[in-house]
Amino acid sequence: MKNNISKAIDRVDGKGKISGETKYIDDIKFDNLFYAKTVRSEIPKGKILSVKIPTLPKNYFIIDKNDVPGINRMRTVVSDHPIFTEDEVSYIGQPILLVVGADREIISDIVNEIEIEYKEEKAILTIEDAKKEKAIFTDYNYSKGNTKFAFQNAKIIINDEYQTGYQEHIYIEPQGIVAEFKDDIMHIFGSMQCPFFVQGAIQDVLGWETDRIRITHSTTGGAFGGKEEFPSLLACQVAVASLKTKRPVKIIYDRNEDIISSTKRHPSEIHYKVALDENNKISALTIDVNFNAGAFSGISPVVLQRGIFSATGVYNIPNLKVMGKNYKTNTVPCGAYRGFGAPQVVFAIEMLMTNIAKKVKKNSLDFKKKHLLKSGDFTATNGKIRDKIKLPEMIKIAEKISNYKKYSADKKKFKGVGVSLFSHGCGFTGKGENDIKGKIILQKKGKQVFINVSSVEMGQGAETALRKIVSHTLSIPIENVTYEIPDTKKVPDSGPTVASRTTMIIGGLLRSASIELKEKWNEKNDISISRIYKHPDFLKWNDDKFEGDAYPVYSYGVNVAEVEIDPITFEIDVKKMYAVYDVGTVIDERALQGQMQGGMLQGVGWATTEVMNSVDGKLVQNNMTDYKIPTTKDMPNFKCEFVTNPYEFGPFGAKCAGELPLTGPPPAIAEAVSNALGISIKKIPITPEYLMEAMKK
Amino acid sequence: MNIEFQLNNKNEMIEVDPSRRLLDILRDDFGLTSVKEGCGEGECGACIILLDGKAVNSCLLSAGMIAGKSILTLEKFNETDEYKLIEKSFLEAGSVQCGFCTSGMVMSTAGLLNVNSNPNETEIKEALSGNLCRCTGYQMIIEGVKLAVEKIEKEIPLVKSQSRKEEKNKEVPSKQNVKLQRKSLVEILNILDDRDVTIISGGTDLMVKNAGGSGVKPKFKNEPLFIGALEELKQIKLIDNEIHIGSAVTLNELLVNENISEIFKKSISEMASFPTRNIATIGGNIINASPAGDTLPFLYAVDAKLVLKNKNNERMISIKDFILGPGKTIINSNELLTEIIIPAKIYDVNYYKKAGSRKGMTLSKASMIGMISFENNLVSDVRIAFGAVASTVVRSRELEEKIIGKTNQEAQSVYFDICGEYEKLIKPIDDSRSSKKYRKDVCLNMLRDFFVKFDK
Ligand SMILES: Cc1cc2nc3c(=O)[nH]c(=O)nc-3n(C[C@H](O)[C@H](O)[C@H](O)COP(=O)(O)OP(=O)(O)OC[C@H]3O[C@@H](n4cnc5c(N)ncnc54)[C@H](O)[C@@H]3O)c2cc1C
Ligand code: FES
Ligand code: FES
Repeated sequence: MKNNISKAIDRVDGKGKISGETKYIDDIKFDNLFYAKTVRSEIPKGKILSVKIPTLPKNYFIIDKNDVPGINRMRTVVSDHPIFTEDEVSYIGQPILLVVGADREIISDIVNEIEIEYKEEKAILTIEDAKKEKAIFTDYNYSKGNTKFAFQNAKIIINDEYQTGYQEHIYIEPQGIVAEFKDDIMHIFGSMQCPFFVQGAIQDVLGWETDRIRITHSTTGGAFGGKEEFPSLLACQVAVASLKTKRPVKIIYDRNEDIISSTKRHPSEIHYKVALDENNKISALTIDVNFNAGAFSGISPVVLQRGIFSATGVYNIPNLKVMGKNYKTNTVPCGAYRGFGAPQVVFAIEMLMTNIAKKVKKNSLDFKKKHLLKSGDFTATNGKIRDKIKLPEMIKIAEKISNYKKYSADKKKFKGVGVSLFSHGCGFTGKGENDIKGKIILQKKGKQVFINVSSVEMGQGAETALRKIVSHTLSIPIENVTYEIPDTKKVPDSGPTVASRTTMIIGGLLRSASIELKEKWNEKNDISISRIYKHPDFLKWNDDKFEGDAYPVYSYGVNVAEVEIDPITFEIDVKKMYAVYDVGTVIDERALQGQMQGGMLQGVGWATTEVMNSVDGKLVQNNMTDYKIPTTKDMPNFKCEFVTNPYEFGPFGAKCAGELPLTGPPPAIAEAVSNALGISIKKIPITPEYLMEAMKK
Repeated sequence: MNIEFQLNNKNEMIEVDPSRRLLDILRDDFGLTSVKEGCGEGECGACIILLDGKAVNSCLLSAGMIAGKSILTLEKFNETDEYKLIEKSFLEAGSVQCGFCTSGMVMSTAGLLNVNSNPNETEIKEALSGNLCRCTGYQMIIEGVKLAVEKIEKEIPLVKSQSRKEEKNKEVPSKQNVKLQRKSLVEILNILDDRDVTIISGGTDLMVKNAGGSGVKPKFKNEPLFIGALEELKQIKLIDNEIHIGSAVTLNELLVNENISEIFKKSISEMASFPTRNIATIGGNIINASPAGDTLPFLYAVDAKLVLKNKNNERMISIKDFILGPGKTIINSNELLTEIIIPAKIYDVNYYKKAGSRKGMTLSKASMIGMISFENNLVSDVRIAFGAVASTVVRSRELEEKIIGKTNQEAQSVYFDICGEYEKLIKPIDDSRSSKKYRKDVCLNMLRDFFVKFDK
């Protein structure tokens, strides 16, 4: 059944990266370059009383709010983050000003001499505090069926609660942007996911038209959502600096600075009220999703949307009430991170299923299977499931390739196995895709075909996948397909590189354009074909009621985790992760393996070693020594398989893939740990400290 | 200061502040941008290069430490036949995604192949444990390295590779012309006597503690004095049943030395990462006097003696009298730690356990070493020490003596007594890595575990 589009090819950007020749933003030479260093708030909340600047040497500059010609806010979903602090600071790490000049030693000395006097105010530091103070950015809810009735008639009612922690992206390449103001044009280069987001943000901060703002993407050393909205902030800052100094200005974050100030995955608290009917089936759920959004709202509303729309996982819950809140606290703002609000709620719903199963003395997988969505059912938001759901088949494969049955039968202490079932809604949430209307242009000049899109390569393999889709459709060698570096001056706005939409949406548009190009192939002239995304007509979405097709289609996964727990230290050893995925059609087997394994390890890390706490508004784990992502010695053995389930509107049938894999491991691991020790797991990361305490109870 | 060294097979002489990071020198002065900065604190491995053939983190090295040494970066290594096969293998195995970790991965692989031409999976994981990758999940990188090993073995026959190595050496006979610029021990002691300096051995602690960030040199308290290359401090000798370890011996040098006991090796092998262990020294770990210093529990357990020298004198002192508290020792500013002396004795049952935040590259939350010997079915000696759970290592000869002279069974029966006593001595703190409570519980679990182990 394998379509040969799935057959692996060498990554087109592989050689340059392996040989060390590929240039990332910090590797590119600019003449007369100035560097910028940010001075940040040291308190969680308060007023700035004074900023004492030492006498500056010649050609060293301070750039702050007074230098902003346009609006001093970063444009995004909610444009509330000041580019430079005005007179109030709202979190530790909030940027106040830049010190700019040629020599980083001198800049560093100036930074150390700057004295800021604050009047500290009482800060809101936790979701708890924010609840008390009613500090809420966003308050959503939606419902389905008749929960009241279901609860009245319930046989058992269960209340439960789950928590998830921060997650920091730890892209190995830190944030970095260069702004060069030349010939009346502001030209931005840098590590980013969304060149047009950056362009829009610069437009506001400078108050210019887009024709004078050019954004050129540079090779991006990992992003995972961390370079979705956040680079706009740096770009605005250095753009203002370059405008003032008339020099190219570069900002590259040191790791500690990156960790304390960049966005993270929202910590969450999720509460459930469950009604079970006489057959021990869930008849109703109330779900209360609470995210800590940090000091500014930014893109948190859409993160929360995905969170609440994914709140029932892969289960059919007839009666449902979902509430979601983003709390405002004086902590670092949270934002996009692979999975975008979904991994939190999927962890919680999966663990809820596990724990209810335990309560009613059922095997958790059987209990979950009893509730599975199938084609023709309705999602949480009452969207119709049109495509085939292959989860039952996938579960069978997962059972076969893993030792699930054997392990779950032998109840050895300190060893356990756990399963998770999950899905990811493909592309933007709700009316997102419809609003963006991504555009692509495919050109043919002579024998060469050119892809013009704003979707960037950030490691996920977009360049290879897109060139492959075009070359395959046209039956020409991949060398004859050029992927133009995304540059707002040259490429159309195909939307941001987010939401696992690149292959499915942009690839789909390119495939459609390629089919047309194929027909015109023999025409003598150069050919240019463009496409603008149009949502399939049958998809309905009511954005006021949150009702209808929140996503056009879903990708699915089944994970099995095998863990061993050290009986002395309670350290968790995730031995093996088995996975079966349905991502429609696989565009490149090897690339997809890489996406899946890499995403899974991020999930493993988030569930186990990646501890990040904020105490008094300060992140305790604020460098790589303390914030621990998995190493080669911590990785499980991965085995991933795929089932084919083509999606009519995806290129060759492809659906989304990039975010899905992060979602599965945390609940699978948590269930495995819970089975190994005979305790309930209510939060991640599952630290040895947590287990040691839990085992005493 | 003028520093001579060899870079990518060419002799170089630069006028440079000796504190500057090698990473900055390579990137900014030589434009060698395959060397990446991902953290500046020795954690990510993106900056790994080869120093005299060994993989090291260039963010942890300063200019003063490369005098007389040879440096290889990917810009030159990528011209070799080995490299070409690594490239092919990485492509075939899908070892690359964003690529930011990749040059470090390639150089770590090169460093591994220099010491082990046929590594197994565990050895590959060990060698790459100091290279973080956030994209791939590692498995496909490890497969890439395995594939490369196979291909190199097949396609570069030994004869050819040997002759190539000779050729490599021929190309660079001039390394001998590079001035070593090393001071003698006498010179060092004279300087110490003359003025306040900051002694730098491996520099892995000092470079991170005093880091100024990218492009900014670390600010040491005093003028740096580099001792890491001093031959006199790099010896390991067995003399009269005692092992004399030079203070500038690196952790990896200890790991491959036949005189060092397996249990000491175990505690060292769980420290830092492979490339960092190529730089970090035992002397630095001791003077650092960190409660979490991982060589310390063993050194306390065996009553290691330290040799301190100044211009005119030498004194010997036991480690427990030497370390006063976190970061505090009794060393005088004119003294140098030259030697660490440990008994060569091997115990019958040896136990070491470290609790960390993850398996690779992690500082201790708590650790324990236990060693016990029996004679005529009676405990002839026992040593127990805990790390990272008090201001210094916790050890009590008094409690150990309660076990000595007992049969195994009697020893087991005093367990509860001494467990309670150790509980009083263990005074851990809450910090960014763990909690008081956990640390204490883990120690007691380890102690129990040790008793179970020697009971067998
Ligand atoms: C990424 C990373 C991971 C690490 N992991 C671990 C770990 O797991 N466990 C652990 O214990 N440590 C760890 N460390 C800390 C450090 O690497 C070790 O303490 C190391 O052994 C220090 O040795 P050095 O030679 O690099 O010390 P240096 O930085 O050179 O020196 C440390 C101190 O000792 C003084 N000094 C050094 N030699 C002498 C001498 N001969 N006489 C007098 N004074 C001297 C120096 O002046 C300085 O004050 C880690 C460090 C890093 C960067
Ligand atoms: S830059 Fe991360 S180890 Fe050197
Ligand atoms: S490939 Fe991106 S960090 Fe390894």
